[in-house]
Amino acid sequence: MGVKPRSIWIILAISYSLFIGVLYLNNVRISIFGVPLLWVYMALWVLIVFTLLVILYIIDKRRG
Amino acid sequence: MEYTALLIIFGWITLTGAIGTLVIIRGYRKLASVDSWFVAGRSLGLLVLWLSLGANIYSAYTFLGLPGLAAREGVRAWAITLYGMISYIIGFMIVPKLWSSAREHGWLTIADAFEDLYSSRALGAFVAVSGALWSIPYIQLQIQGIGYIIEVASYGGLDPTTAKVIAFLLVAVFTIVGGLMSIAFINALQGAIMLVAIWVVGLLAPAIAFGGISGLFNTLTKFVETKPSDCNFHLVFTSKDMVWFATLILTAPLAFWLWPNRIQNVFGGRSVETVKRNMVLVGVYQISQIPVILVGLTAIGLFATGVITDTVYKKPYSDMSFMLVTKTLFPPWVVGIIGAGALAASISTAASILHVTGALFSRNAYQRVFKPRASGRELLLAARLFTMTIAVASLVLALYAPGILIYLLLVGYAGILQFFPQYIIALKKPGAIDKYTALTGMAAGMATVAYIKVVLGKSPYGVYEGFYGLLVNLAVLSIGYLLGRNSRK
Repeated sequence: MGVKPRSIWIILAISYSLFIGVLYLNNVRISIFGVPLLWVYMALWVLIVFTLLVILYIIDKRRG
Repeated sequence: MEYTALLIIFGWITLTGAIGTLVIIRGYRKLASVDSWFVAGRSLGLLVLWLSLGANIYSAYTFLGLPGLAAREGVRAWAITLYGMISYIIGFMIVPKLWSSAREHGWLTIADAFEDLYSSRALGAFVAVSGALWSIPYIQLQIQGIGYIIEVASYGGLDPTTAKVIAFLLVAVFTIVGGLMSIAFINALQGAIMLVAIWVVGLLAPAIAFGGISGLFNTLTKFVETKPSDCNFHLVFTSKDMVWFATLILTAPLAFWLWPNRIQNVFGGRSVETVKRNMVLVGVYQISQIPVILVGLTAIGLFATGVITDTVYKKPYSDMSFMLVTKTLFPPWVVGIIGAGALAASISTAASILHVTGALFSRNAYQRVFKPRASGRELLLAARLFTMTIAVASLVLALYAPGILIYLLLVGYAGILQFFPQYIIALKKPGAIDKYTALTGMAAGMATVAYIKVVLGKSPYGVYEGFYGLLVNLAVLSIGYLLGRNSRK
């Protein structure tokens, strides 16, 4: 019943794997509309994790 | 002296206090029952649970602590927002199961769960008392936050200590008389005002002060090059930041849903579907931390341009960033509304934690260990007395040993984190470790955290202190497991 643990582990793994991007973008050399790319990436990371949470809920709902 | 902001703030407190009293009077008989006092009769619907959980979780640390960290240390603030968001995925994994078990076994507190899972009253009592003690820094940060709000909103005309004591006494009295149901109603109001305040100030402040986010970062980039030597503000992570960031986002989410006040609020949910939907919906509050970070950056930007003269990159002014930005850029009536939202959020969270610590002590320590035949009336009295003790201890710490808000929160997390392995092991592999090993592991983990914070002061190599505590806890559990397995053979 409900979401399978495997789905949660995959979503958790994706959430944490985005840390790698921080290692590559940890500088202020590149910016988008005046905002350092690192800061844009951090905000996107938060939003992506939220999106994954919504996906998790949908998977759970579909599996009943 | 400018009175407008303070009038709005205290007017709002009076209004919410009156609503709380009305709830108590109208539902007094219902509130007098133990089940209602603890978990609101498990009757909270989607909207009330969402707003109450939001106001329960997001408090002075969101309004004041997070912008304070952004102003003080820059990019490190993202670690707080990220671990919070990841916590909802972890929550989706463990919370619905916990809610179902609570309903099935009649658990009213997190300590009930441990007592039942390990068949040990002593373990339940340990979780109850240690959970209450690790909540003290959390309550302390709310009291400090209230003080900062009053201080800034009075435009220098009011003694923060006096205002802090009055506001907190209001909370303590309200918590003791009421219960989760009345707190849930008040939290619903606070949650709404908090969300609006965060987005309005977060989006408008950089636009008014610097013409937009681009202008803000332009100012900050220049500031980083010429910043004072004692300023720790960074736009990029240092190597120590990276270690702290990684260890924090790995471990803090494990503790997020084991805070006694949060899980008890969840126990108040009407159904497992309500709880699951809330795991997603409360995440919306987490997104609201993005504009909050922008307010902290605006504060340091305004300092860099000389508009704000208080040293917002240092304690205690960093934690006043949100209020200082509001005071600088907006008229007093806006300061009043924002201050009322922030103050109300802090009060409601403090009330919620206090309420739960009382419930934990009376039920899981007083009744189970000291007086098994205690009547419902006696239990409520014990809960209220313990609540007052914790409240006073937090107030004394806030007055005489104030800390940086966000780090106060993280110390609490480091302690609560030590419940996690024991909880998961009991669920996934019942009987793998006995109650003695479980208790020793938690105690050792918590002692490690306390040693780092009290004796060492700073965590070695920049690692989050909860991570060290967890390692020690897991080491004890492994030894206990191996010894137990050998003896079973």
